[in-house]
Amino acid sequence: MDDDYDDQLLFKDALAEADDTILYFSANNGIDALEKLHSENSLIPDLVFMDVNMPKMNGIDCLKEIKKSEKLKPIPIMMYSTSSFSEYQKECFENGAIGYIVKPDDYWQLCNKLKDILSSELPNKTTQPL
Amino acid sequence: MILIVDDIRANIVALKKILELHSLECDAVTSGEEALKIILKKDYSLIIMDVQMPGMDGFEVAETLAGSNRTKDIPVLFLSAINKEKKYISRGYETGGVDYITKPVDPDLLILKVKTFLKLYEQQKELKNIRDLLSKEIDIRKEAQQNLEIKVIERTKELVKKNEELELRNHELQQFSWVVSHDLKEPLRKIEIFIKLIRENYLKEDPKALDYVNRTINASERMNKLITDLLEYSRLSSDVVPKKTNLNEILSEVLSDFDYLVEEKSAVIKVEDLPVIIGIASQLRQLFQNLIGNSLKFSKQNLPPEIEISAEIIAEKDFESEVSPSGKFCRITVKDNGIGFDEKYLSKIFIIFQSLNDRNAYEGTGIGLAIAKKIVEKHDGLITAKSQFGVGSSFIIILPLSPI
Repeated sequence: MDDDYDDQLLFKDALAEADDTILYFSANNGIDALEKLHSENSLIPDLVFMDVNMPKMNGIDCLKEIKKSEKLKPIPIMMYSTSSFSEYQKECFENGAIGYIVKPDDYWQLCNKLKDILSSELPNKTTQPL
Repeated sequence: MILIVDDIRANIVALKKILELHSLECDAVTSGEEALKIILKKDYSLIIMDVQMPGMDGFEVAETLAGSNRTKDIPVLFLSAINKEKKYISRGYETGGVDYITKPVDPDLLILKVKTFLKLYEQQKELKNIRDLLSKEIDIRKEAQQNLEIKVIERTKELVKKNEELELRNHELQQFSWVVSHDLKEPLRKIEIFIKLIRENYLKEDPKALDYVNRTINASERMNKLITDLLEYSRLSSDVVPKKTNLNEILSEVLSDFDYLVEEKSAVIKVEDLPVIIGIASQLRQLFQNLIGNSLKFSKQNLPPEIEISAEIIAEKDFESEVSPSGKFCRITVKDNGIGFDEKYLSKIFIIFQSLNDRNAYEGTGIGLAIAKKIVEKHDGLITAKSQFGVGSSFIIILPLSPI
């Protein structure tokens, strides 16, 4: 989930680089994401990567909305941002995020980070298969 | 002008003669009532008055004159042929007379007296005029003073307002440069990421393209550093509260950040004991970082850098001030054996974006020393440098031990 299409592209590429069996879909902001997640034929993702700074509905507000929904609540959510501002991080964790990554300046760093995350055991992992 | 009051015409004529002989002008009336009437209309400098008169006598006239502000200062000279006893004379003085003369009158003495009283009256009048002038002057000055005070208050208000505006502008400017720098970083980050992706994935076979792309990457990295430094510079203006800061701790933190570079360049760093001052730790850290970083950066090609950091407590906020253990300032010197610079460029080195050296040989953004200067100034201190091209540089900082 990212309002920046370049970052979305990079993220998708890095994700494919990290594990090419992964299926994903993307959203451009919080509202868009909630619509997609709430739509009836939507799959429930095993993990959501969500940008913090987005127009219309920012990541933290979207995170709060997701945690309000019985259906979406169990999805583990990993926040990410270019900002390492600790207030943001704190707020994310307080609202139920499982992690916070700072967007790396390097593509391969991002790939490695994603590899690490994907290979680790996720808390609250949904059991529903993709 | 003199007024003669006498009910006997012959007396008036005689007296007039004497006065006119000395060119003293006079009017004459024959009763107290007439006297009061004429005095109301004209100004007299002296009244020569008979005591014994039908109707109002001389004493009554004098008492009436004493009761009015306009006439109370006119000297009255009583002249009497009949009432020569002491009680009359004292009554005369009591009612406000300046003298009491009994007849027969010696004309010479009378003239002397008249002239003396006239002179006294004139002097008194003059004094009164001066006093009036003075009190007018005082009023004018008081008014001027009040006007001035009002102006000062107005001006102060204006200044306070201007100051507030300025602070706001300053704040806006900081916001602006912070946002600009921040927003500039975002596209730059992408340029770097994509161009690196191109390099890694597509350019392995083409050395020329690889060279171009590497140059692009170098340029964007340089721009990134510039923006980071600019961010740092604009952040310096924000308000932070100074605290007790041990410069030795600050310095050792900075030096440990340079561990790698120190080892790589086999640098020798000598550190003296530094004082504890009231300051902003993060800024002071940046100050040492920039100065020591410079010394390491501008070292000679085949000579290991030697850097000495020393400190003295001094009496005055002056580079040449003498050492004084009870002084309120410290002088810190960062001395190196690097390439140095020509002192004629001294005024330039602390200005933002002024880099003296060839960019290819020494990387730098030209902001480091500008930041150092801004930090020192934020601490009410001074900074300068001494150098000789090819020999080395000394940067000298004066900082107050606690805010002035």
